[in-house]
Amino acid sequence: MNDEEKDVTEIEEEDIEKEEGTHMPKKSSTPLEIIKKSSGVSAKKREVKPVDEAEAEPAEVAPPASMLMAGDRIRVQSLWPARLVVRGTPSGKTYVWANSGAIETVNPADVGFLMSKNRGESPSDGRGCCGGDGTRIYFQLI
Amino acid sequence: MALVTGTPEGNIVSQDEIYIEGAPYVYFQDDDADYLHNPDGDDYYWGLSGTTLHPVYSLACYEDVALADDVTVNSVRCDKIGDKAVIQKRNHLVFTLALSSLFPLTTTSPIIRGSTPTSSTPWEKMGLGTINNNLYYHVYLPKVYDEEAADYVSITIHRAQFVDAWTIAMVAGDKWMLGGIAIWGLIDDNMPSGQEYATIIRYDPSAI
Repeated sequence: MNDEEKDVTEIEEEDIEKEEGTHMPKKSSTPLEIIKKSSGVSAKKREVKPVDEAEAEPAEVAPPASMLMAGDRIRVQSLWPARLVVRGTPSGKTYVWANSGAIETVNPADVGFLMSKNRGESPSDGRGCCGGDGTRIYFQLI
Repeated sequence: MALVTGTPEGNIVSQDEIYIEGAPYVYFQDDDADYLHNPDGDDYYWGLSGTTLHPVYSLACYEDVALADDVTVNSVRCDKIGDKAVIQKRNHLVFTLALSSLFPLTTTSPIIRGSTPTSSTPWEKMGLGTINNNLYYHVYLPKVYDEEAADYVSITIHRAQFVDAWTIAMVAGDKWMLGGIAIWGLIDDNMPSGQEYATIIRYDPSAI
């Protein structure tokens, strides 16, 4: 490992230590950094490669979208054609979807709470009128 | 050979012994959405397909349903001999109903021209303000007239708008009723010739 590689390693490890305890990646993080931080792999175990070599790997330059969503935050889309405000979530956060189709990034602790608002998963849930099955889907994960 | 009863000769098209009872389902959707068949193989535009951005609204309990034509008719009158011809121009279609199911407000809002509702457990809030005249909808009215064979007829109104003054009747001993609902089917000049106002589709494998 040459001097240049050592410098890169130290910088990355310092960044990770600073961000421990928070689930929010920095806004300036690249997709590669988001994946590394959300992967659960400790900085010491991570294989450190020279900058040039890492950039040359296509898999890291263009990660699959599913990997980006598997991090600390979950994207939830509203299907309800109204301005939808959700308070009293487990995390204490308030979420606002401006209209149908709007997407908010939510805390993982709130996902179950939000999805439980969807109605009609079982026949006993149904409160539909006039032959309707009562199914009502407010949210979907994307 | 013609019967003695006076049956005409030649090519005769007779009607089926099919009678339809009751109101159709009523669905509507923002007219920015594409039709389910957009178009179909015969260049007909019909049906709805709900999307995340443009869900299909379904009305539940209603009565006094009717679809009517609004036409200006002027005869070409020749005083010496009478009406020689007639000039007709279709203005719009009028679909009327009275609605008993009023909730959620999300579905009622377009009908009474309310503001975009806000939903926040356990609240649902909506205002009545100035009317946005730039909102148009597709209206889809399917009616299954043979449940076993799944035969149906459907009417797709292409460019509809909720118009006229509504009334909510609040009568003791009876349900609330949102009456005076009128949906005008306006001309949609983006449609092919002959489908500017609506498209009527019938599905009946045993008869067609």
